[in-house]
Amino acid sequence: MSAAIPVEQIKTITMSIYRYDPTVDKKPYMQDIVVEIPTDKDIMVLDALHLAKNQEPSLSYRRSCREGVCGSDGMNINGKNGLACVTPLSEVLKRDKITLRPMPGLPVVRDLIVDMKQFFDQLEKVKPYLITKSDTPDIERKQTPEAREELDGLYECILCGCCSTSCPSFWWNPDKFLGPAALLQSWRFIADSRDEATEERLDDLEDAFSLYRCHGIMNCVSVCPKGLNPTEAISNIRNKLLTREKA
Amino acid sequence: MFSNLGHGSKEFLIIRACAVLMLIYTLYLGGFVLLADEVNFNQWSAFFDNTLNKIFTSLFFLAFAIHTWLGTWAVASDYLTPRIFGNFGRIMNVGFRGIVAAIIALVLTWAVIIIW
Repeated sequence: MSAAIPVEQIKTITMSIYRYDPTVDKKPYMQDIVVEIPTDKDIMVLDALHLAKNQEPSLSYRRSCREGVCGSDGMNINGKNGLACVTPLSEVLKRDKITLRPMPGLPVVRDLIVDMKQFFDQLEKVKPYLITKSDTPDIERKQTPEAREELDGLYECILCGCCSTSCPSFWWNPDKFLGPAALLQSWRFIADSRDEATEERLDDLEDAFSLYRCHGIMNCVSVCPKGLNPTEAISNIRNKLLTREKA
Repeated sequence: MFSNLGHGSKEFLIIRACAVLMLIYTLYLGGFVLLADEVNFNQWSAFFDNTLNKIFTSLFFLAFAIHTWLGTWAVASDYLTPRIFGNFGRIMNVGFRGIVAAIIALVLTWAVIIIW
């Protein structure tokens, strides 16, 4: 890159990156990789990672759409979870240095790649799909514009895992506490006027862990790259649980 | 309505109800201390001779016991687990809860002896 860009438009930064290949390394370590970045434009953290990978081809991370839609490149950037593809490097560089680690709380497969099984197992528990009991209408299940608006701020979740892996309750009990992402999806279907399994969905959340392990510290809200509010969704479910009258 | 609630919801409400009761009692006792011209032994003794105050104080300690028991259970089930400490986690959890139970029993017994 330095050959194509005038020297005055280049600066070097240090990327401190978590490295771990369980087939080779006994334990994880941090590797400093110095890369040259252009100064005449802002690039994303993911772009800088590509530059680092040019030097260290074994460096591994997930990425796909590179525009904040697929949710593949969730990682811990300077201690805060986020998507590398939509995080401008200029916002996170500190003294020309950036630290990248895998999302905390999940097993590391390799470098910045984590095993998301636990995350998706919890999502599966909330049955993230419409459940209906009435006869299937000829054309479609209709919804008023007002009822549809209730789903705004809920359906946009891309399941990147940034929220759940920044939640201490999920770290300590990832098999019992559903986590903010799954609970946001739970509320998305409880709030859906077409769904006919509200009571069953609420019954499934009545234990001491699934929902009630949320202490409302709002880490999930702070890190969500889509600007969603899982804490509010959890609060809505809790209010529904506490005020419902069973038949 | 309460009987409709599941385990998690009941626990959530009980912890908060106990906290509210303890807050009200603290304000009540604080109000007595602040509004009294002078708090000497006779006034303090007269305050706690009142049966309603005895009942209220007992309820405070009961709420304290329940709040502490449920609260520390939640803390222990986060941090003192086999997930974090391996097999030793279970022993630590049971040991911690035993110590908490002993402290609560001691405080309750002491409170009953003093109040009644």
